[in-house]
Amino acid sequence: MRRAGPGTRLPRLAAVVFILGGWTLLAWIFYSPRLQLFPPPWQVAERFAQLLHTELPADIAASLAEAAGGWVIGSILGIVLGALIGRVQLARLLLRPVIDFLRFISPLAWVPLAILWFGIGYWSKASIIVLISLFTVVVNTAHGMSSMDAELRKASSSLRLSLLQRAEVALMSAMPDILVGLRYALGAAWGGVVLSELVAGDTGIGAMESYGGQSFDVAQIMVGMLVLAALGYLANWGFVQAQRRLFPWIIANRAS
Amino acid sequence: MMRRLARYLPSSGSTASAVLGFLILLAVWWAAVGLLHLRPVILPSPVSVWQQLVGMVEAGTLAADVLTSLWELLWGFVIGSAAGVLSGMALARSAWLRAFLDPLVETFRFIVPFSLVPLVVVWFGVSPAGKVFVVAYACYFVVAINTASAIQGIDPLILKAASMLGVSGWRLLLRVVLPAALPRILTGLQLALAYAWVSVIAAEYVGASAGLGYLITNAQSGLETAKVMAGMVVIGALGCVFSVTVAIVRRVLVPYAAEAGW
Repeated sequence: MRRAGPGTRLPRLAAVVFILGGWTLLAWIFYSPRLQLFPPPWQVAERFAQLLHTELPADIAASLAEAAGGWVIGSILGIVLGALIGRVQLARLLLRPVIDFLRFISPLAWVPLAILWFGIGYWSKASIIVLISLFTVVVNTAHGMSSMDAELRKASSSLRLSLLQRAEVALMSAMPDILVGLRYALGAAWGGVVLSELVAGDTGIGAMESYGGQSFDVAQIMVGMLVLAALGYLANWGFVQAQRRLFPWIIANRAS
Repeated sequence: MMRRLARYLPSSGSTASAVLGFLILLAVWWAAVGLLHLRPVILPSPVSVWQQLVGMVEAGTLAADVLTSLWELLWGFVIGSAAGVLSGMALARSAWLRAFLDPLVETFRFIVPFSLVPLVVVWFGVSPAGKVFVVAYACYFVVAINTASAIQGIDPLILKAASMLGVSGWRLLLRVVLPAALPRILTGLQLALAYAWVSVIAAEYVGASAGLGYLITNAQSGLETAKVMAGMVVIGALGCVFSVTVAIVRRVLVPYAAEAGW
């Protein structure tokens, strides 16, 4: 996070004015009485308030459950597999090439297959998030584990640490890399959620957008986009806060 | 023995490693189909996926779908990255512009490109224009952020040395700034290309009438699992081709920059 200096307040204000003004201007240019293709900000806010009393809370809950469940499972799998690849020779031999190959097929290309395997319920979406998180976290964990400091390794063996303690040393020394992977996966998870819900879903923000598209209700689609952006922002913010609290010795880097 | 075997292993992230992984996966897949006797709807055999692939190539439908997707990729990538490089340069040059654009980029960064898909279907219908829009949007931020930090991250010593030697203006830009910033800019473009390819497929899932994304969702609704997997293989193979091309371009343009696997 960048610190906002006193001199940046004016341009920041200009940016906010620019977004709202540009939006209103576009809405005015594309105005047509029969089909509202570009609703102005206040109409989207109005639609948001309406949806908040009807289906939006349930959709947010469904999307959150898919993102959180998939992210946790994928991250745990990713850390375990990454640790194996980083530390065990046999796993490196067999698993690393497989992951190198599978990374070329984007997790999002698995959506139709996931629907064939799991139907249109919870798991067809959560499994996509599992894949997204797994591939990101496994690479970072393996990198962190294999680039462990040699001094640290010597120290832990000369101190005669137990296997569990040694695992902890390895995990903590790889933690900066793992956290970068976890944060990136958390950001990418939202794209997977909305896309798989668009293709096959009856609840969730993607499904809400899809219903909005079918009834040419652009305001509803925009509400979905903004809610999703807010969720992504909050998740990122929460992650950074938790990282600062749990691992204060890692300097939070601003990964793009 | 493991150690000796590991010496012959292709380096991580390389194409050779991916080919090896494909062979391992193929063996597991074949064994799973042979031993578990799964229904073809759940997991078709590699042979039937291959037959699907050959069938689509012979019928000529595959070429049409691939061309549609590539066309959308090309335009989206070119438009998005050109805008990204230009705004990245502007971001790096002027502090006022940075203070103005930073909150804009920070806001739009969180608006997921895939959540735009229903919107562009309403706006543009099934035409490729909507897909190009989504792809360009997806590329823009990666390229802009990386270009800005590439130019800002140039070692000040290099710039000082250049100005001391009397280099300025266009010559400074072309001979000093560009070569110093190019590795990082290319990294941004590389990420953007991978992201753009995913976005093309994703944008074609909904409201499309041609393209690889349409091919696999259409096959999915017809319960043709072998066709879905054949489409995924094509998507992966093209992704691999892009990645190799970018690596070659990188080696030609910036032979001085180090490259890393994982």
